[in-house]
Amino acid sequence: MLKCFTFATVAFVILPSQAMAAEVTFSGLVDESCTVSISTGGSLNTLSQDGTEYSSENLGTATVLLVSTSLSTTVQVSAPTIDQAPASAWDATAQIRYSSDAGTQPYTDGGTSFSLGLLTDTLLIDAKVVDSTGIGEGEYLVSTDVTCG
Amino acid sequence: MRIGLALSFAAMALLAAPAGAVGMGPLSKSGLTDGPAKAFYLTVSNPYDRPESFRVFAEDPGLAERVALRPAEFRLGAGKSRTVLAIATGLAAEETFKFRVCARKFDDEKDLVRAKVCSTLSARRVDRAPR
Repeated sequence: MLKCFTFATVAFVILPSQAMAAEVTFSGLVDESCTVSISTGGSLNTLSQDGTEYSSENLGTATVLLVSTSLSTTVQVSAPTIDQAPASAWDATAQIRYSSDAGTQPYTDGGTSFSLGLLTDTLLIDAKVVDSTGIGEGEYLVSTDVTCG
Repeated sequence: MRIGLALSFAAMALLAAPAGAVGMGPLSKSGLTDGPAKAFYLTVSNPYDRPESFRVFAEDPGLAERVALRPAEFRLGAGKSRTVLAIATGLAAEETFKFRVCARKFDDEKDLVRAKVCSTLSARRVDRAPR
């Protein structure tokens, strides 16, 4: 124990002079990554007064989506698709809109993208089915892909 | 008819809940090789608070034959991550092969919003000059 203490003391006496001449460096690697997580799934539940739109507004639920990234990147939101609808809704189209810290996207039936300058961003996504002949009875399923990177 | 419609809408409100989530990095990577194949390490993470299954795949189905993914499907514990190998194969001499590999939850086809994270990879074959 006493020997160890002696060695430690000698090392301590020698080291400071070397440390003063040494270059102090900090190294690190920022690995660009992205996580897309959805805290609330959306639902369609509001019929417009004229009966031509069925949306996630008001009585429905918007999808709440959190994007976290270590560096700025691009987020793509694909054109919405109607995955399920009654046969009578052959003329129906799907549209989505979203808002985030980066800005807002009005209702569109096309694909969009935006740059994610912040490390985290929260998207609120609304969807709706539009049918000029009137929303028919049945189940509707609208979906979209959100791609980070 | 109106009652039927109202019931359908109510059913939708209950049905529409699932949504996908996934994490992956790095989002881009490039590398040189002197052979016909080049491997890249990607890390896929599970943001859920429960175990979930995920899959990785070449975004362009036309390039799927040239991209080997090991493993292509796997299960991760809550908040866990794992390394996946993405291997570009069949590289011709001096070829630069760019492709994207994406990760998503395994069974998200019925999700309203399908989350996907993609990494852009570039492999370049640089053959050594003959002696």
